[in-house]
Amino acid sequence: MDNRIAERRGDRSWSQAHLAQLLGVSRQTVISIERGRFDPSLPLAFRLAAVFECRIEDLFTPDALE
Amino acid sequence: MTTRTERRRKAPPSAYVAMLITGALAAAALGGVAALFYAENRLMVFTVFAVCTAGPMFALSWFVFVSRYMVTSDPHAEDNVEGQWYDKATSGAFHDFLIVAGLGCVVLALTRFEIAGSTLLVLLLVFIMADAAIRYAVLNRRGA
Repeated sequence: MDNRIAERRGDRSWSQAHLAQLLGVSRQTVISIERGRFDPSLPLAFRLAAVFECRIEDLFTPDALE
Repeated sequence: MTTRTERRRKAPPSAYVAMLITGALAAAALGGVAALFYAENRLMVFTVFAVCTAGPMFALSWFVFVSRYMVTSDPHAEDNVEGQWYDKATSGAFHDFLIVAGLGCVVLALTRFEIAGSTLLVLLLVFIMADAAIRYAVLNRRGA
């Protein structure tokens, strides 16, 4: 699943560690999500959307829809 | 900060006292049980088993009596990628265990080779732990 987490994080000049802290997860989790190697749980996806003040669909794109 | 357990205040002295007493009693009890199964050198058997099990028993007592004051669980633990790695590693190790145990049974039945139960259990335990650790390390490396 493709995502725009790194792009959104870059727009805010946040480090991966800062985003991880905001989300309450490990930095490795943020790294894995950004690289597309880990699909976050639904609660974490909602937290990501809340942190970036957008909808989940704005952050993630399912493979079938690409 | 992240996959974490947050530390709180120190545990009260009574928790440490309970930990020490319970750990010592549990180790002594295990030493006593072991001594019951040996006809000779029971004092030495008691001492060896009590000393060898003291560490795990104190650790278990720390978990029961002290940890609740010092460590809080991570409410987002399941959202971390490390949790997924752990689940995959242990699941893979379990399936490996089934294969190894099945093949081992066949080999033992065919060859009529005899092996002590304790030796076999230790070998299986080491195999499963090493398998899970290697699988976790590989997943970690791939995800890094």
